[in-house]
Amino acid sequence: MLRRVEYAVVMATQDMREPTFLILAALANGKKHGYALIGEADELSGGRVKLKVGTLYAALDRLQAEGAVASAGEEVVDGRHRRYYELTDHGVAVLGDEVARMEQNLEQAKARLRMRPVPPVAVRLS
Amino acid sequence: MTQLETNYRRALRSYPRVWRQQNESVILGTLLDVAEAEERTAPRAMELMHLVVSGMLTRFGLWLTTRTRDWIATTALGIGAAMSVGLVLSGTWMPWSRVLGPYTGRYIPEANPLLDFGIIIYTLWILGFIASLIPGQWKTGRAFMIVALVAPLVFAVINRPTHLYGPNDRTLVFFTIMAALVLLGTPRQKKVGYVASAAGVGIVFLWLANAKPAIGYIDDRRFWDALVSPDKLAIAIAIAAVAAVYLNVRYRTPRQIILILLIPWITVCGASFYLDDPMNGVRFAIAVAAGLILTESVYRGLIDTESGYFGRNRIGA
Repeated sequence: MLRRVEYAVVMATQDMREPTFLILAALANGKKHGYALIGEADELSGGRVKLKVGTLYAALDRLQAEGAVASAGEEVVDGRHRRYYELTDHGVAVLGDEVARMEQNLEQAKARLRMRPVPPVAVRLS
Repeated sequence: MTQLETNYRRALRSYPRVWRQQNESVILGTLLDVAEAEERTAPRAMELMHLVVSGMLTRFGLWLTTRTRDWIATTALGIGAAMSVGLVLSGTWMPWSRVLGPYTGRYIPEANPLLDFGIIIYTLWILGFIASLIPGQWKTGRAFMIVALVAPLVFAVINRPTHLYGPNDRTLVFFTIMAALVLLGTPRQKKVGYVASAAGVGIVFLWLANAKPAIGYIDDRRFWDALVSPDKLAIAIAIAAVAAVYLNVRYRTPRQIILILLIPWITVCGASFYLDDPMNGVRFAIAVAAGLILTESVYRGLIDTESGYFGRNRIGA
């Protein structure tokens, strides 16, 4: 059992895809239900990522198995069942690591852009 | 219940029953929320198709966990790469045959894809294996394995009219299925998986080399004909299947790994029997089907291996 949990932790730290990152980021400021997560992912990505419902619940299943996300209660609103999800401590750590990795990449990219040779300015004689 | 809800519920049937019992009302609520926000009263065709595909993938994920698929990928890559090295050095390209050739007077294989395209397939496997050993390079390794999956099919099609010299059809089928097994997961358990795979394949080659010292070189035809002939392979498959069932009946993962890794061998064996005599192929297929039913019956507790009792009552007793 322990080995399975360790394995899930190793898996969680590798190759994070954008929908997974957006779901974790959407949960960073508090618990949310499925529909709210789709809206948050849309907003966080500037309208670029429209999470499909099947993709969302597959990702949530996986994140729960990895111990990054946990169920945080259910309610029925207008006859519709809603389940809330929240980040676990491990999920916070995974998201933090991913943000740090992205920041590092960003800094590296910025540094390289600064090092880019400036093209010679053409001088007009007339 | 609205028509929209009925349609969604129908699409959600592709998910496993256990999953639906726990999650159907929740995912349905989200689907209805999304439809309401988009002011739709009917589901989109693409939405339903995506749900069905997600459901099928969930079924597959529950049946074969990521960990199991990674074990299968590791072992298949280890076996495939070790076999590729073995087949390159023993049949497709033998650097030492230039030394031995004048004495034995035998055909000297050369590493020339125009003479034998097998070298391309084997090289892809070896490159995929090397990429898996370099941290962060599995994307490259996966690309090699995708090409290794398609290449045998392309060569088989090209080979029909041109009759180029190349690997035997059994080899092409074997490596295609093995590549598909590698692509099921990510090779993560490298130490145990690769050592076990290389040791297993090494033993096979040593056995073959000792069994046939007069051959001079062992190409893939001799590999299948001499050592892995249908009757021997059938016995080996039966032994492995029995081991999978009786030694690991309590453990789902090793049992699944062994049984799934048997697929390429079973296919080659069945094809060999079929080509030998179609009725033998049918008999072999019946034997495999009976073995699978027996395996599942034992694993699901329908057959009590201790008392021989048959029935569902044993579960949980």
